[in-house]
Amino acid sequence: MKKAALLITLLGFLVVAPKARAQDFDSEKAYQDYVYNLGIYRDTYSDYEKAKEFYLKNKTLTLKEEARKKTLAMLASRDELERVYLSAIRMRLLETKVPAPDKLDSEIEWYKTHRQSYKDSDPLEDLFGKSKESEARYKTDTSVVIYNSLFGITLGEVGNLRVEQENIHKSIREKLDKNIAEGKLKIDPFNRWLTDIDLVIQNLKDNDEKAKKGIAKLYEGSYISPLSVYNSAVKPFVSSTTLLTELNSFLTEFLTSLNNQLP
Amino acid sequence: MNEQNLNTNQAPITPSPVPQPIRPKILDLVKGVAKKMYENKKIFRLMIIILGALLLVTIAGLIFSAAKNRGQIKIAVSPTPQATLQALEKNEDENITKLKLLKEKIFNLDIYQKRLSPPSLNFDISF
Repeated sequence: MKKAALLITLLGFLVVAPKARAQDFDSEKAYQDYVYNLGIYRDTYSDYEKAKEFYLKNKTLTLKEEARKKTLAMLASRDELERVYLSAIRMRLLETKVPAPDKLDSEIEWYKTHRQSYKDSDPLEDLFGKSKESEARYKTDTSVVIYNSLFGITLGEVGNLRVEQENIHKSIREKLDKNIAEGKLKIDPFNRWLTDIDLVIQNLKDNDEKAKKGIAKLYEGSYISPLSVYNSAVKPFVSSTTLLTELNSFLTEFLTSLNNQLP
Repeated sequence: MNEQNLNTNQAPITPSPVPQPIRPKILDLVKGVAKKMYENKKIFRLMIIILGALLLVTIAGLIFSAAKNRGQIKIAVSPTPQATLQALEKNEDENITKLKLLKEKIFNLDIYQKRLSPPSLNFDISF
């Protein structure tokens, strides 16, 4: 009897819990969450700066306590901001159908745990020490994960647009072959156009490879900053945008011409 | 005396089985289960707490969602273009319509992911 009651309760929770959690949380909502937390961080930072200034002008115990409280609030909101920002990136990666870097989840977890390490009673010196921990983590691990993830999002977006157009290309080709076999169309000039389109697709794939090689430098350690590696890695995608537009107009032209020639 | 003997020799009268209605049987079963559960105080209390919590969450959800909807200004969302429908209307090739939509996506590509660029943080905070 006891087991049955427990089982029913557990099943009830299993049915209700996912519905309550889902709430249509997508990358846009995660982004809005990030923007909201950015606002909180900016406010707490401004409060911290003012309190610090007051204390440095007049070094009283009361003003020091006030500055300590504001520093604590700012540091906690900074960790929270990092966690929410990384989560927003994660959601975007999910929607782009790109696998997230291995370390992304551990970074999110690190900021979550570190934020909890701040105690209301922490003296200023401890707060400065904990801030140094965040700084070291950001510089050695987080920034690398961030730029690798941002690269992944762009790679995914460009790749998805190429694949979608490749699918259209495939369907046009099938239509062309069918009409040629039925004697409704001549292969000329479509054969040459197809070669041109194939070349654009190949160039797009080459750009992806070039970019991937560029971002791999993030893990080689011989760079000025992760941002500089990211900026140069992403450069081939600028040319990919032009190629994607070209592919789009070629396919449109091809299809229009094909349709016009059909009886 | 004779009367007494006669009475003792008589076979005992057994009442013929009366078919019981099904409804009371089910009711008895439910009562039995409820009684057993009630007797088992730990499970009973646990169930009451869980059901109570679920009821409260449901009521709170209904109240707050209604309040939220009242406070919100309803923004009319323009219908998203339906590729196939448009194609049918204009007698246009479905692939042409898809290509038009893709062109817009290419145009809106954010190569450097500026929207998601990392927040600028100050780590030099000691004083």
